[in-house]
Amino acid sequence: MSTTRTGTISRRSFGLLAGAGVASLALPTYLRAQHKPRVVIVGGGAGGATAAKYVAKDSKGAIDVTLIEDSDTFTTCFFSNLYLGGYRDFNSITHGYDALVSTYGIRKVTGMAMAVDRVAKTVTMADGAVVPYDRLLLSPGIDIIYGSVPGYSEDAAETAPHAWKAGPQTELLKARLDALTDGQNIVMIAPPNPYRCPPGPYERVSMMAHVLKSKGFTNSKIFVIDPKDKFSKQSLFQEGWDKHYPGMVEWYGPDVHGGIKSVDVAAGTVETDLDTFEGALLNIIPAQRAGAIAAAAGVAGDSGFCPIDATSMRSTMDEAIFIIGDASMAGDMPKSGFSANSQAKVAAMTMRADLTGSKAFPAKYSNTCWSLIDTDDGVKVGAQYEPKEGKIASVEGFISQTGEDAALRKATYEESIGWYDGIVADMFS
Amino acid sequence: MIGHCMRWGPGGGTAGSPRIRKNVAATVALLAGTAAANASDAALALEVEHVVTRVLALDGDPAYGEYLGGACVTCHQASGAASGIPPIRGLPVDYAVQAMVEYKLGARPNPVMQMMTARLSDEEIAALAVYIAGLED
Repeated sequence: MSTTRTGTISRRSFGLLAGAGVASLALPTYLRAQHKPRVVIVGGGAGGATAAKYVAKDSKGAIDVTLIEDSDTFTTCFFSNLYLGGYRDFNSITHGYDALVSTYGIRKVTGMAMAVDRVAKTVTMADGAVVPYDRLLLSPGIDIIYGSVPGYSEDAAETAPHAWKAGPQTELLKARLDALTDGQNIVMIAPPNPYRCPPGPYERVSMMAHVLKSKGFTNSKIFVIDPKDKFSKQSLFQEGWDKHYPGMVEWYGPDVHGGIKSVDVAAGTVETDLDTFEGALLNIIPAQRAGAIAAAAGVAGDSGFCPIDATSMRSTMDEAIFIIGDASMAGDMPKSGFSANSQAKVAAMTMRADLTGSKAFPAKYSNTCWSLIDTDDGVKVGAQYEPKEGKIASVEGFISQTGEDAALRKATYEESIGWYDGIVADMFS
Repeated sequence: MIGHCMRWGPGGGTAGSPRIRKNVAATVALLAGTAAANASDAALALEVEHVVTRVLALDGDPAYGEYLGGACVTCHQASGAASGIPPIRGLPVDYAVQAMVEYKLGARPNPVMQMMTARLSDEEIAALAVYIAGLED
């Protein structure tokens, strides 16, 4: 089969697959070279860690699994808002890879994957090391498109953090938040669609408001400048802000602010057509695209995210590559840790079937997003998904309602704690 | 993503389905405390019993159960540890089937569980019950 390094498999050469004489996707394992089939996973976050574990666990040693991840630990973006709000400490949302290595025999390669040779089926690391694969799963998360907000840059993120990739940015944002005095404002620029974690910016607003309120501040405001005219769980957040933080939060949609013109992080200003907003803390969350390795591998589309087969999470551009999590275009599924974990299991099952002939069941996916508005006031939205006419479509769902009583909101929050413990055990233990 | 808000009352589930209409009717009638309430309640209980009996007659496929169970373990930890979400590890098959059927038919409240079970077939419930029971091994 011939493939260009960054392009798609041509139809004509795909037809020559059987007679081409090069390593074929269709050959059964016993006709291949004498090594175990190899799965290489790039990205050790919610999707990648789950995929590595499930391939290793369910193949019972028949597949060689390598996990490429530059960090020694993973800080979950989910629940990072609760750390900002003072409900969790940083260690409680940070997890290591030891169990994946020792319990499942996964090989962790610590470093940055820089390139993919789809003909040779290898990943090249920053240090020059070459990692061969039979199946490659990319779960690189997002990259921030700094230039999508005029005046913003990677350097500026040290002063005006996005904290949309958890870790040092989150700690920076927490330190800046905790250093505010009464009367100092926060200005958030919310991201445009599509982005990681639809309710995330608004849970963050709630958590920052909670910190200011709990310190007795009465003169600080949180301005939210949103490129979107509506957002996830909007009625629930607005009800909660009015109830818990009256007068503190002001949300501006594009019809009102008329467009973001530029930011000046040194001056702490966000200029819009309507007005210039000033804050001692700017939290700027720009537009996003799939992590860089996806484009480097040639599997990202024009949108910057990766098209996949809804029944398997297999790339539509290369049969040996799977993309899951935030980097993928997963139809109705939101970009979330829960979705990545769900997609990882379908991809893992499919890769095992490809490589060992194990049974592949019809794909089912699910997601639930919990958001905390204030102490013991939690809300959620969730759905089941199935492939329908080539797309991952929502088939069943629920959402919290305004006016729910305190007992239900408290139960919803406590459920989220159970979920967090469950999902990190599922990913890292 | 969630293009429509699911309005869930005490019965929960997808608006417009026979199950939710029956649920709402049963719940409203229950609150009104009429004799008719007991009749719908009893009808739902009978339906649950009927489905449970049907499912228990099947041989659950453990491999299918393990695959489907992937969606359960994110909340119900495979280790049996619990914090805010009840453990399911090692639950007897008939208990697990009963619980799943009750959620599916709306006889037991909890919108997450009703959503997770709404589209499960008899075979899938049987497979899951076998998987859940086997988690203790």
